[in-house]
Amino acid sequence: MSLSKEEFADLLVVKDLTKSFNGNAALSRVSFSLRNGGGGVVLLVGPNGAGKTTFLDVVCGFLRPDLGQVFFEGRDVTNLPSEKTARAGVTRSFQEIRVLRQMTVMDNLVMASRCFVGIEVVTALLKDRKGPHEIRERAGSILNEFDLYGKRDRLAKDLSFGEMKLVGLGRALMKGGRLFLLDEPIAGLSERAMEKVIQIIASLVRDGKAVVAAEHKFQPLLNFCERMVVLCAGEKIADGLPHEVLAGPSTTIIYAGQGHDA
Amino acid sequence: MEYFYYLVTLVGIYVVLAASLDLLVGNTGVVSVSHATFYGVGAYATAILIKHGLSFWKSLPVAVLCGAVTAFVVGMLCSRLRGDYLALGTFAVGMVGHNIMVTWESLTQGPFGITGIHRPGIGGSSAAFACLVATFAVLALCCIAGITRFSAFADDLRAIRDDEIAALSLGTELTLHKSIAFGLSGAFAALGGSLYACWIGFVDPSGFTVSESILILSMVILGGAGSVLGVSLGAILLAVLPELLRFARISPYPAALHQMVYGLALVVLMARYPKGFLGKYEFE
Repeated sequence: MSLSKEEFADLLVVKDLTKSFNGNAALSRVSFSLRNGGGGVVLLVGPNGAGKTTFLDVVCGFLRPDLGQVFFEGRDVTNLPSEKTARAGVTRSFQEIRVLRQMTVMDNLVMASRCFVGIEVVTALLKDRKGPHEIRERAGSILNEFDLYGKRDRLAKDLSFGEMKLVGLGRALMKGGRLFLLDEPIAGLSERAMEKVIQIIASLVRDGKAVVAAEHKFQPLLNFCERMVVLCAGEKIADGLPHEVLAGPSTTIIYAGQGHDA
Repeated sequence: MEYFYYLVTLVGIYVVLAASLDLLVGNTGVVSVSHATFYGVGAYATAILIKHGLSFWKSLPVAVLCGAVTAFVVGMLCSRLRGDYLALGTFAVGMVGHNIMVTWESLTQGPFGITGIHRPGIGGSSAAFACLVATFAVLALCCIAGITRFSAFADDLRAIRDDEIAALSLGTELTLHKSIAFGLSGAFAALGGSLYACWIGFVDPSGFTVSESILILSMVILGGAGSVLGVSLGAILLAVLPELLRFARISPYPAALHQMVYGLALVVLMARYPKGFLGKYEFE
């Protein structure tokens, strides 16, 4: 399957994505596309087990789909290893956060800003791990925004859950990219931290980045999102403007997932 | 005094071995039990080249290169495995490595080993050789400490150690990083092997078994993975402890009792210091 001329110009095109685990369908024929330069946040909602995380995992290359294709900037990335998709400009945050636990907060951010490929890995032996001054400054300003600058030399594992989540997001910011896939960016955060995250997401959108955020309790994000996609049992059941989707028949399914946090 | 030189040489070689293994254990999170194989490759390469008439100084870089290449290839193969399976993979490499040393008789002369390797240094005295080993040990330590403390490469390794998925999501090349870490580690291990071959003047497969690898791993874990100073301390302790026990005349079954005291000491020390003495990295 190839792309039409219009699709070729899209940032992300996902066609008929199908994935099952031990016979249980996690995604079935999900198609989805994101226009280039449109920016904006796409909210991916749905109850537990709807396939939101699986969808993100397949798009960023952690999982291979059983069927279907993923195109990023017109390029087929379906079977590309995740590190290559990442280098192409797809940046991922995780529900389970995945901070680099035994590295300092500062190192978590600084190491995300660079990437060595091929022979560069050998030259990395002679490169200063603290990175150039600008990088440290940028990491510092991100940490400042998150009120984490004072904890920059702490090990990431000694932070609270909310702080780890901020470090995870800070890492994604340092890495940069064109498409940000955020898995539950605000779940479990305090009011204050949630506001910070929302500001960051808003600033990403202002910079013209595309953001796909999978979230249960999406209300705080509603003001920023331009589009809502509803997954249920692996199928896309709604896709459109948030107020239209919320007024439509899938509302009960969307809110069904909000009784619990997980 | 001879005995003092003997201890310096012994400790020097183990310090190099432990510090080089820590590149994998403490920084990459790879618990490897194949280190004795790379150590053996260095020792055999030196022995064979010296027997063919090369000087120590010419055979040393070749031996180091052999160790690096062997370890790099092992790294390429084993990097596909994760966690416990990776440890098991290196165990298999250690077994196979030892078996090759035993069975490839045309190259290694099998279980009989290679004898008559000349010692370099001024007149080949043990004092001069101890100095040589100590110098190499210090140089190797500086090199390894430099890499682990200051290089961007080491930060990438630690990112892989802490969370492979996160490292991948940042675009890190897992296999290449791990293979180069193996290669570096193997290069320094081969340096240790090269020094060992010249010191003893004889190599046979019995010095390069999996239990030797486990001994080196114990030095790393006891001293403290992730800290060059820590693993050096671990190496000194575990190399010298059996020597001290040799003086403590515990009759009537000295050998068995030594093993028991040694084992008990290890258990007690590990229970008291789970991260090792100076460890930075905690196994989770």
